[in-house]
Amino acid sequence: MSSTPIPVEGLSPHDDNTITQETPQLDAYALLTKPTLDLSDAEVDAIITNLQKRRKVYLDTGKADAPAKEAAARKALAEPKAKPTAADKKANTAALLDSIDWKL
Amino acid sequence: MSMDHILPASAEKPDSQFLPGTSVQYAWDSTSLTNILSCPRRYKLSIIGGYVPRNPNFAIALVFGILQHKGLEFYHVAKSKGATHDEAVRDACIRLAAEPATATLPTDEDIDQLKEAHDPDEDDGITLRNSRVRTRYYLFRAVVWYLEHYREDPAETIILTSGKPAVELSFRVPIELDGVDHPIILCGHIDRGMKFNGSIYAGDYKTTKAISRQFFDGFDLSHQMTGYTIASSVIFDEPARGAIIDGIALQVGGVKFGRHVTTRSQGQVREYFDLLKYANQLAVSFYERDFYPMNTASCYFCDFKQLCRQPPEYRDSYLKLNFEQKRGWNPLENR
Repeated sequence: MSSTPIPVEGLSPHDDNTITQETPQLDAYALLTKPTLDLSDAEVDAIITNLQKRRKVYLDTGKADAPAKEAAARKALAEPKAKPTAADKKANTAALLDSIDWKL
Repeated sequence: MSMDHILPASAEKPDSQFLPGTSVQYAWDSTSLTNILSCPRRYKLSIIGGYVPRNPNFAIALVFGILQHKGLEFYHVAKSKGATHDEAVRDACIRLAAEPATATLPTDEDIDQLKEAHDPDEDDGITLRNSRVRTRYYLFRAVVWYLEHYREDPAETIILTSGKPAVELSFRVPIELDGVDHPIILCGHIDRGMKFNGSIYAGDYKTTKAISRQFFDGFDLSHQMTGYTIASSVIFDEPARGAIIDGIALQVGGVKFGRHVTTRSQGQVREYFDLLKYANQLAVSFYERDFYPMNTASCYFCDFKQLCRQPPEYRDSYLKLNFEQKRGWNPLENR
């Protein structure tokens, strides 16, 4: 996994407005939404640290604590949408042309 | 300070809160009082009958509340054993994570699934909106943020003679009332015995949607807080001044906190005893007539509203379908 910080616009700046690929392992929300809640003591420590950091940001900036949105943004970053291929573009253009009522 | 004479020795099956062979209640707590004073029908269904809605949001709210209290109890227990603030927070979170019920709390994904099956017309009292802020994440956030907020708490937790902190105390206080020929026991559960500015207070955690003046003003009139003041005076063997309410506003985007001190005078305490006497008279009267009328002025937040809307001939089947009969609310139960 890459540890290069990725700036994410619109995210609460819990980690200097950046997230890294490793972040979910230290993120309270990710740890607390695991299917089974078998947390190690180290993971509980990570939850506390992250929650305390989130509280500070919430108090200092007034920004809502929105871990679910952040998780969704991370997921989107981890699974970037494939760019449309030439064939896709051609098919989209054809669909668009088909949708036009030429009698008008 | 000893409270052994008040607290039951073990959490065995509690005695009945009713006089033998009747449904005349003699052991009163704030839930029973609120029910009988607001609506006799609701009192019969929830306190005597033990019916609770088959509503997942109701169960989530209950489990979340219990766990939130446990988390704070774990913290105070660790502190009483000499842990620092940070060590106690860590201990509380480790123990909270290990509680089997914690894993039963929903995640956002579970709430989304509940939403799909959600019928807004069936909303009654506790709704999906309540559950949205009662996930596992919100539990830990509420506990950790609360403990950060009160890192330098000017109120101290009272330490009992046993060395244990006065937290999560179930109490039974015998009360003698003029004109009542059977024993009356005042029961309840104090979240935290507190010493603040040299005076004794009963501490109570209250979750809410928002911290407001209106929210706190309600506690100045609350019979629950008067009962806790009386019980605290007996438990701690020193006149208690009142109660301290720690409001915890669970919101999607954060948690807000507020503290309110409410005091009780001797006159207010006497008034409370009159209220207990009145509740006892109501319980006797409803039992003797076997008639528990609806008070339709109290329906707004009532869990039984949809049931009472049904014609009387359909209510039994509606009750079986939509409600679950538990052992019944028993103030004598040691939590």
